[in-house]
Amino acid sequence: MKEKITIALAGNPNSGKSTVFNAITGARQHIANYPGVTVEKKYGTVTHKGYEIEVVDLPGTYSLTAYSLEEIVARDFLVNEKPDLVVDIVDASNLDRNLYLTVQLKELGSPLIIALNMMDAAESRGIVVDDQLLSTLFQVPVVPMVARSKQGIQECLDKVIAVAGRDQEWPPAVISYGNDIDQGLDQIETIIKRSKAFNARYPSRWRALKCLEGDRQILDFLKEDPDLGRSIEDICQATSKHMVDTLDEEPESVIAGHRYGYIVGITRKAVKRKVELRLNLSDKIDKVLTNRIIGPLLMIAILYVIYVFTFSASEVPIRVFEVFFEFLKEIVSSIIPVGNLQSLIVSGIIDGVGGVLGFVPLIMFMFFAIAIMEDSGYMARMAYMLDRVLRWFGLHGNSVIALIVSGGISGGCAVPGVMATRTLKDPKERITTLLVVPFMNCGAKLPVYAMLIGAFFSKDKARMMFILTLFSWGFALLAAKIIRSTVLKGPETPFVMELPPYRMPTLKGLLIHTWERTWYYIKKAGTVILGLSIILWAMMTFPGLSEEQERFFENERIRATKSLLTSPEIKEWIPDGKSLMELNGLYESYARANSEEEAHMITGLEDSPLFPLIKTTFLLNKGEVPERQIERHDLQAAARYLRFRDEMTGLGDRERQAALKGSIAGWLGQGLEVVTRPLGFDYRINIALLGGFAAKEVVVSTLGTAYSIGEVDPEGSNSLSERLRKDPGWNPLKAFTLIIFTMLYVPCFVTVISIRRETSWVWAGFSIGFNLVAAFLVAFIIRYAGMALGLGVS
Amino acid sequence: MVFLFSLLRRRMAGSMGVTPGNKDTFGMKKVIKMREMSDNQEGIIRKISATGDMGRRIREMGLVPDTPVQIQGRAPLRDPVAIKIRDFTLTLRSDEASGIWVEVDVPEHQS
Repeated sequence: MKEKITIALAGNPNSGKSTVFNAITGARQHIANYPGVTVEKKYGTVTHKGYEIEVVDLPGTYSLTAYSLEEIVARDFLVNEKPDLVVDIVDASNLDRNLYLTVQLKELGSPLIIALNMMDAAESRGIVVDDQLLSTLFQVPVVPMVARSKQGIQECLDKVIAVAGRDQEWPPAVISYGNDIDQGLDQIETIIKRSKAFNARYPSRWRALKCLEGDRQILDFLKEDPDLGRSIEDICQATSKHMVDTLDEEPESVIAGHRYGYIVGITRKAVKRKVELRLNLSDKIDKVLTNRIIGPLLMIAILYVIYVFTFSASEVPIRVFEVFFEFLKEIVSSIIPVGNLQSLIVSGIIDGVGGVLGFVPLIMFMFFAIAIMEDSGYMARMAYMLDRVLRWFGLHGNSVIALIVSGGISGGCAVPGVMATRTLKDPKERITTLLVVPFMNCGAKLPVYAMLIGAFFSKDKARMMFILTLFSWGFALLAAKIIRSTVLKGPETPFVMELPPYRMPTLKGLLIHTWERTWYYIKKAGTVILGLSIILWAMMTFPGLSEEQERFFENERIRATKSLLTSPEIKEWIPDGKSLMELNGLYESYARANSEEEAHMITGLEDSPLFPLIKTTFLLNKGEVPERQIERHDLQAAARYLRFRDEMTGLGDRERQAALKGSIAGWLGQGLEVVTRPLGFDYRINIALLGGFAAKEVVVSTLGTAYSIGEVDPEGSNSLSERLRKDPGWNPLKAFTLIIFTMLYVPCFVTVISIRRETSWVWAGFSIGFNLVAAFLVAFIIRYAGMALGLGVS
Repeated sequence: MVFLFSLLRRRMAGSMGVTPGNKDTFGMKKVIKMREMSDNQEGIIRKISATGDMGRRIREMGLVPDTPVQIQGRAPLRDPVAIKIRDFTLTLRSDEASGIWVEVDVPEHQS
């Protein structure tokens, strides 16, 4: 008797395997990758009746051949790790196909029980499975189950303990594949058993079968002994020739036929069909949702609803995040004195990490919506409907998931998009998809668009956004076509995909899916972006102002202060520099109290003798003409003080602008003008684009600094829009060129890291290079085509 | 075992009203490519001529000879095609459906 049991969950995709896994392990689950591959390994533990059961969720597969990564991973795990028991999750409403994997597990000699899941769905379709009889005929313990409502989970764990506790032998099942194949199997089995390549972990008959099926992994393994390899190959060829001559079939196809024959032989006895339902509910829904005309229209409508839902639902949480980070900045600013350390923490770390984390609510809601589409089965329908279009561009129906997650409906994120390409089997199609997803309009690009559209296309905002959405799709597809007909040339892979029945998603499943992906994003933002933010901050801060410049700004400030203190209007209010500081402090508290509508703070300030001046200045600043009872010389004093304030703000902005220009990023930006001049970009835009490598929305705030207009609120960014609209160097064509360049130029840093994780540094580097070249060419064409048409000559 | 199995095969096919092995036309039946089938048409898979990876994926999804199949519909651009097989719905491209041969009823007026 053991205290600790390891079980593996095996099963087809859509058999409810993850529901079973979630029901067994609850929140105690972990995700890792199988060594060396990007296939996810989920595992968790549960304690049941004193036993500690470790559960490993194998990738969902239809078979155990060596033709997909998932199948090899599952197979290797079963053979090498030898779990104490394999729980095969079988969909009772779709028994034949699910049992195809079960037969192979039996042939592999894995200790096995069948969890007969979705008994309710089967019953509603008039399929009644006699689990006792199935167990007898299959010679495997069977536990009926409805994992969604947790029925049968405890019974399954009981069975796990009972079966794993038995010290039982699990001889590999021997299934007959007809005379010719059986003879070949016998011959190969005998050779393997006698050879050096014999390995007790692999049943010899199973290996013989794999040889006849043409399984590359096993054949290569046996070829390590050249004599053995040759003699096995001879038998395989002889068998194959004989089969083709007599039956006109390859051995592999005969084997599959017999396996299904064996299964049907059992299910015909163990399954009773009450009524032959010609169309079940799911089929009826499909008649509408995948209808030739209604289907695509509904798909667009559904995507639009998701877009609206994501943005409206995340509005409040995003605001909360913003307020939180503002609060954090204020606290840090009040604790740490003004200087480089404060600047590093406030402008470098909090702004950088906060900017990326600020998107978490948006991303979370987007993932939630996507999880609904996946778990309900609608995503498969989208892949089905769009496959024909995507195939023309060298992609695959399943690419649509990655494209939509990355911002196909504006406001996704390329990081989970890159991860979503894991559903693509063919490496070429997968890499192509992953290279084009950064072209989609992710959430971080939207503030940049909003600012520029606000400045130059404010009349038709909606139309511009729509055009940009079309443009990004068009460009991504075109780029895919280019990549697929050059660097990643290759045949298209088969599209053989199940349309799983529509199912109502469970909240638990949705939350787990959403959280897994969101957490991945947060982890990235917390680690990679932290380091990068610090580097970018340093680039934009050092070396900064020269001593001479510093002295200049200092003198200017002293001059302005002196001029204020000596002016006749203000003299009677503030006699010296000390009272000026007091006035400044009080004015700022009053302004803040007003903007936050804190009545009690305002009341507190009213006692000050300086209050009338403060209030008048404030009203004057807002452009509201103060009431009559204010005396004339008070008004003059307020106007003089306001002028002083504007002067000081202007000096601060000019100083920041000069500091940015004098920084490493500033030098780079100026150096890059050589390259970007054909696009009409000056050093200020270049600096902003450099900053955008961290996260695209940084473009807006950096442009703000570069144009010396102080703090820019990335959501509103009105002052920057205003400033650019009035700038003679700007025009709609330039703005549009910058929008398109921002859309295409480089994946943000986190995306580059994700691409590397999914592929290699080579592809990550290619992605940066390809996108830069593409962005440059497209922006160049747009600019010159626009100028040729007489638009925006500057 | 082998004998039992072939018996089973014959019985299965027999219950569906056809005898295995007849090619092209036999009375009211003919064998056509799956891609040529019309929507909602039913038939029985007779042969999978697709080979390699494609053939394997088709077969492991349960498309093996003597299995009844029905065309459920086609995607908006007439490709891929959705079929009902065993107890589930499978989609595959028309190109891939060319490697699947299905025995169907010949409409009265054609025979």
